[in-house]
Amino acid sequence: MWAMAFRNLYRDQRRTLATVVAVGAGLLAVLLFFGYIRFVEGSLASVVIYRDANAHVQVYRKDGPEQLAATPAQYSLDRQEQRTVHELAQSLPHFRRVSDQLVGVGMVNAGGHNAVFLARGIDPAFEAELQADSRLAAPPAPLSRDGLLLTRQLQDLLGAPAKGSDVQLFGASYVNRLNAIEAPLTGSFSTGIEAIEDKGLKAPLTLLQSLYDTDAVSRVVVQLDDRGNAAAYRDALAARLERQAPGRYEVTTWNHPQIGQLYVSFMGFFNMVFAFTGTVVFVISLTTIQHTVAMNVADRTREIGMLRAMGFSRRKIAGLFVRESVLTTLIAACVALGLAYLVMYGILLTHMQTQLPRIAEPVQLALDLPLSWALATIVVATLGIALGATVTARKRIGGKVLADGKSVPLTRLLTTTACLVLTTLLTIGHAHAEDAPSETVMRDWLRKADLARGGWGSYKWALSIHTEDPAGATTTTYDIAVRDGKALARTVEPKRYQGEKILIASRAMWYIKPGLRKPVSISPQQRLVGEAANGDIAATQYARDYTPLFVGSTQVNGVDCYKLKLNAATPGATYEGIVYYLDKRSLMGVKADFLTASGMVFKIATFEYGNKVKVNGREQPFVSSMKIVNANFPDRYSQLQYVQVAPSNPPDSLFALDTLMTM
Amino acid sequence: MNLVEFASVTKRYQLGDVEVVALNGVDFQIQPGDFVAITGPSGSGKTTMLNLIGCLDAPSAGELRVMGKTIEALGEQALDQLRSRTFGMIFQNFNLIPVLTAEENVALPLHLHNLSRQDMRQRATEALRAVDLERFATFRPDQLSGGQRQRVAIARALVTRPQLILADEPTASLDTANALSLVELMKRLNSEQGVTFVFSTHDDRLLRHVSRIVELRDGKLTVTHEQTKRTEHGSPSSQTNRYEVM
Repeated sequence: MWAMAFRNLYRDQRRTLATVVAVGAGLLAVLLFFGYIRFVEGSLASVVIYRDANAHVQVYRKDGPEQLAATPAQYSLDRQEQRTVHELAQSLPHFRRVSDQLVGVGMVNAGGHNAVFLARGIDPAFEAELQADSRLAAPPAPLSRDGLLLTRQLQDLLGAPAKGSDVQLFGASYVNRLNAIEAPLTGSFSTGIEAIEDKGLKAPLTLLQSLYDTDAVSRVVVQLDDRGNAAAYRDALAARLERQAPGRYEVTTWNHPQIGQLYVSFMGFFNMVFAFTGTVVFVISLTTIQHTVAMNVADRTREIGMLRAMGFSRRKIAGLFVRESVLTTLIAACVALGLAYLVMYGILLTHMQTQLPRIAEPVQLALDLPLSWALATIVVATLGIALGATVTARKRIGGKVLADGKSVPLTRLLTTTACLVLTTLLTIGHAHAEDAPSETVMRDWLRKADLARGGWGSYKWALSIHTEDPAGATTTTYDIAVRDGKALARTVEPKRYQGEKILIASRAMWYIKPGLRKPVSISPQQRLVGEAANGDIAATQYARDYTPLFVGSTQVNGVDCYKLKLNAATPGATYEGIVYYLDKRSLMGVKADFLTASGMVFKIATFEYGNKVKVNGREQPFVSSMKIVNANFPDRYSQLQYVQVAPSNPPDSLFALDTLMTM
Repeated sequence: MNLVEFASVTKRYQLGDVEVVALNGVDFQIQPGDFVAITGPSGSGKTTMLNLIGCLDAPSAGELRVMGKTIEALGEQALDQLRSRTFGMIFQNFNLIPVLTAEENVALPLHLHNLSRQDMRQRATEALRAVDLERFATFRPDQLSGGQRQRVAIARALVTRPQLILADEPTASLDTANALSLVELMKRLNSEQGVTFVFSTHDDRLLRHVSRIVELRDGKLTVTHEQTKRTEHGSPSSQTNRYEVM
């Protein structure tokens, strides 16, 4: 019967050729795409493991991968924990080397330009050894022991500072304090991820630790002899660490969603595209084969009748057509396989380069199509096509043809859905809009509210900020002097931070501490470091920096309030937006919801006005307490206490940048 | 035992909204060794009758027994087996598989008989020898004449050693010489090997040689001729037993 099937294919050469071309083209596309996906997979894995220096296995504090970004101090590993992990890691098979790493965020300043950075603190010696084991065509620039590497995009944002020039890093320390360091720029590197390519910064581990004022690390990474051993090694190390300190550690591999985000997201995407493409190609191939079977059956009804008359069952006759389909598919598969390997080696010979998704540098294209995988793909495709051909052949040769179902046509379904959506939208009632006051009136309200918080006039006071955080509690005291929107904050307590100063003038903010050669300019984003933004410390002028919109009236803790939506009107504004609740009687701010750029509430502030100051001979209430709570983590908050508030008349020179260093 | 027995068999077809009665209450038997011709004008029900005998179709009413078995009671698998073991089929257009050689075409029905490749080949050769085509074993149908193709078809019908060979207009596509040769061959097989032949035909050349003629008209069996002997050249005998069935 196989011979007969083969000869039947030969009998109708044109039809067979057309089918082979259609199926073969589909299989070729699948094989090449499959080879490309494996190439991308291998390349992305190398990027994650070697270039991004994640190594194969990572050890964090429990929940560290998810929580480190929000609370780095609480989820870091101290010196003792680092030692423990090192010892256990070295005792397991497949181990090559181990190292500590620190990650952090902050601002970088060079030549008066500011930009956000995402830093990785790495031991330069470990990175050099890791790169030596990598098969990456273009390993990144080596990290020196005392310098910084910045991505080219970040350097551009900083006005292209010269190599060797000092740049300033500014960030919140592990005790939620501002801190800054200076280090020379020694070169550039690529994060390999377009999304963060304009923020990438690489620093020696010890240097980054000094910025965050800690000897803790974010994680310990372990390089193995082969990535195939990562999962088993992780399990073994996790088991040993669990015995040592139950519930203390979390061990991940390089393809953990938090580690190999690039790998996981793109492989998920590619696998989905491959599945989609494979399905489409399979359906086209299957349909082609089914069409061919149907035509063959139609053309050979006499032959089928003769075979039935001889006593051949429907199944046996269908088997003949299935054999023909399988042979056609196998011929197509052989052609596709040969062409796939020709293309693969052709690409290798031409040294073609390609851009990997979100990888800045081009890499040499090298399709990865192991014969076993290619054969498995073909076997699966052939089996699927044989099954489809069987169904068609059985149906055409004498099975009952299913009557058309009473299905709902797609157009009717879509129309009904659209009508339902439209009806729902139309039936939603319009919100009743309260009569809105003019913008001038609202700005006047805001000015009065600012006055009660020291935004206008000349005052001095002592400010105590107590911050509660799962990592611990800190209290800092400042002396504040303000004059018509300018402010100077000097650290009083703790004593080790004395000498730190924050100057707010002309919508700009500057930070200086002993050891820095010049003040660090603090951008609006930097003012959001910690639960209490530096911008909240003093001189907040909502009337100047925001455009008010009237939302309506509401009650806050039983107080009738106007609800205003303030949108940042200047790049110098600390927040993108604020929902501000003003007491209708006193026009003082009762509550403020601080919004992210996407409009989400991320901090909530409440105000109390227990202080009194004299303005133009009249006693006015003045802010005495402000509590700022993290909207997502209510156990993280800052309590600001305003004491010793008094009118003052500080000189202009107090708020001059030139004199900041000498004061 | 009758090989085939029709008992008030009726067969209706639905053609759109119209019901066509192809056979209408037919009573008829075929005994082993018969050499029977079914004749009648086009649309009289000849092919329907052959299809029913060959178990390719089932009666709408009445009872049809083949080898003593009521075919309505048999499942598809049993019917397939009955066809492969009991019948050989010859078609007007030969219906040879064009991609197979004469020998392979002849051996085709043997695929249902669990024989070794060698046995199949031997049986096919014997069948081809019986129709004097042994030397054409490796020829494809398009390399054979019409008469040779029909002989291959007969060999294919014979190869399973069936008890009954059904032939639908077997001489319709043949010239006179080939038709007569074919008739002689079938008669020889009938007399020498005892193979029962039932065929539909309009061909007088064939009718002269049959032992029984069954005439159908509008689905009814109108006449049978029992020819007790035949002339030397195949002309019908003067002694006939003619009677009206309906």
